[in-house]
Amino acid sequence: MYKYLLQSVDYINAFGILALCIFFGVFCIALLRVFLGKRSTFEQQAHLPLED
Amino acid sequence: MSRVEQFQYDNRIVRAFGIAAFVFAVVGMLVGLILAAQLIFPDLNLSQYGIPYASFGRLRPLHTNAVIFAFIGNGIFMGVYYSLQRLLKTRMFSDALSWIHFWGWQIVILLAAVSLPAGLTTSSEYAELIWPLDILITLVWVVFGINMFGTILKRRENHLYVAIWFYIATWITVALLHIVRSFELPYSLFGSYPLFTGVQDALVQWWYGHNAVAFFLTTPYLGIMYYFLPKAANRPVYSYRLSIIHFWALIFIYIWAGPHHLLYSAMPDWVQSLGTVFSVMLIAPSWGGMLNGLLTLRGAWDRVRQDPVLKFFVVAVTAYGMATFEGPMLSIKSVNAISHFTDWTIAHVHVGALGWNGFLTFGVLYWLWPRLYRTRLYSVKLANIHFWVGTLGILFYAIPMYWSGWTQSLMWKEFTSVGTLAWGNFLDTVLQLMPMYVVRMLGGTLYFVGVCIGVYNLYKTAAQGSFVANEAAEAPARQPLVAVAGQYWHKWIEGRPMQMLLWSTILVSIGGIVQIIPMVFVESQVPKISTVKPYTPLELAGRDIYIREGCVGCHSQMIRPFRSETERYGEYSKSGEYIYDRPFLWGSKRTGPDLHRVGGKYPNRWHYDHMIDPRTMAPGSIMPRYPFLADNELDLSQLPDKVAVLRRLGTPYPKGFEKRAIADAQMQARQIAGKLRAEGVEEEGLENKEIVALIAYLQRLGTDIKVKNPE
Repeated sequence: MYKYLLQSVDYINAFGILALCIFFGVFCIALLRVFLGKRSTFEQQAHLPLED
Repeated sequence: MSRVEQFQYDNRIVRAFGIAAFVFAVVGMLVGLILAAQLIFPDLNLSQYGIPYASFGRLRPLHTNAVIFAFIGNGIFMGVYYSLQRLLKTRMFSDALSWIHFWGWQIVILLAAVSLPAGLTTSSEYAELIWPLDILITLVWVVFGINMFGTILKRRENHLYVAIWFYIATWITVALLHIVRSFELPYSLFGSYPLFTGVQDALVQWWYGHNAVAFFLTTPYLGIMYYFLPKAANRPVYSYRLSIIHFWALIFIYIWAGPHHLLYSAMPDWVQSLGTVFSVMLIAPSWGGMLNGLLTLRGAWDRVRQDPVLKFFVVAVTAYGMATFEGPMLSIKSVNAISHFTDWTIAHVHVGALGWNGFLTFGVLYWLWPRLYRTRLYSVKLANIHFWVGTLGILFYAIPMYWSGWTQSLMWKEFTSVGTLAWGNFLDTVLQLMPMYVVRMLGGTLYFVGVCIGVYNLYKTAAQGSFVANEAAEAPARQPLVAVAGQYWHKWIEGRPMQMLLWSTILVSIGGIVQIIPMVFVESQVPKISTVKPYTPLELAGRDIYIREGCVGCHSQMIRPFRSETERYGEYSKSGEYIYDRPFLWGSKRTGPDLHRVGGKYPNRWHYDHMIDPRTMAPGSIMPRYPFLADNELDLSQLPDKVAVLRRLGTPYPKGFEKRAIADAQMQARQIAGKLRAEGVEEEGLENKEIVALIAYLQRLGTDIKVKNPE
């Protein structure tokens, strides 16, 4: 039933593919940049709640 | 070296929100217990005495709104106001705004508590409140935002701890969700119709509804967890890196998950698929948060044995993990085919609400109250009793609901060896569930008893201590932010709240834009069916009575393309049939049967008798009685305004039809009343009663399409 819906809208598949591309792009960049950061800075920030 | 500044934290506002959280925990859960009892003892609906305000359909949204927005909402603000001040080393931006926020929120709750039982509802789940309250909520939320961002801007600590990112994302996303879901055109002071219709309304509703779960029940509580769990355990969070990854992944992915509420519905397949895929991906960031919480307790597990606060936190985070695994599993179409419309969904919701939200709130309260009152907790033993009673309550709630969910689904889907439905009478499947409903009520009662123990314990704690309204603190003045070469990229944004706000807004907007815009603007997404016509004025009046009484809480109007459903209910539902449905009424739960093709199935007299007393037509039925529908005068005075608004929103009523709407409705009412008299109903003035309008609506359902029988 849904096949003719998709046929009537040009390039509807692009929406889903675009969504996944955006997600993977953002996620992969975030992963890389977090794991290349300095450990000591992360430890300092993690202690913030314990400072008061 | 910057100078050290003296200032004070505002504890009065924290205490106020905390007290409100506990009060509404009691109220909201008591309403939940009443609902559970009504399913077992339908006479508790009180509607047979002519009291319309306490029926299941009207009270269910009161329960959901009370526990989500009143109990958990106040819990969020309690946690945010306490932690924000201390993480930023500054008092709240404005005491006046704090109190406007507090009283504004409580006023919304009180107005909801009056309006919902009065039947004033939009019927949109978790957005039932009428349009004047929507405006009030917006104003209160803006006040909260100004206060929160004002505090962030005047902070002494440059770095924004992870909890604050969650608070920022919560604020902006809830604002977006609320505004879009509230796109409606009023026809009166208490009534409105949504901008969206049918399938689009369903998509917007569940984009909103699922993200209300995400950004009201999850992200602020993750922020609260990231502050209070390390504080209670006296250890830093396990992995700050993980918190960065899981924050950005969570706020991006969650937004897309809404269509998992609409699987196998008339929603286009590509939208359903997006919902499924992103829901499954959501396991990763959700479990990132769970693991971060639990692993923070590495080396402190011996303290969990002694400390009730840590016990509550451990169960809360574990329940979060369970619910965020189960949710994605339920989003897989083959699993959803079993679970949708059943009590399995109720079990899932309550593991999250009672376990994650409830227990985290109680843990925070037990940690916080002694500190606010400069004393020890009145009774650690009572707190432990609360913990164990509450945990048992969760188990006795969830397990019977799993059992009843599977029972429902298996019975609905079972065929005999000759190919007919094994349980053709829907009522048989309901009666099978009674023992599970009794145990569920026991579970809810246990949980409620635990809450009452907690209220007593904290009251006695306060009574023995001395409240610190303004807590003295000192911290160096804020240092200007200086970029350091080689600093990790995220440190840049962690010191810049406005950029954090902007990027959060962009990320949470993407999912909604990709899913909703095609549905709204691409007409071919919802193919028109030429035989589908707008509701007549009388049917419209009847539909609004259906909405008022909360029928959508028990009855769905969405027949899925399964043979078990088409055999039971008729042809599966097409998206084009709903183009004039404002609001959509697909429903989320089948305590009663689906009604999408009930039109023409029973004579008018059947509906009349069934409404007056369902048990005369269906012995053993747990549906409330609605005798007052045959007594209440049918008010048609708002019909011209309703028709005018609908025409403005796009329903193709002829121009000037609003002038004839009342006469049209009266004529149709006389026809139906005539048929009822012919069928033996002897009541006087039947054509002027509400029941005639409701019958008109029910007899219209599903009749717009004619299905050809196979040759």
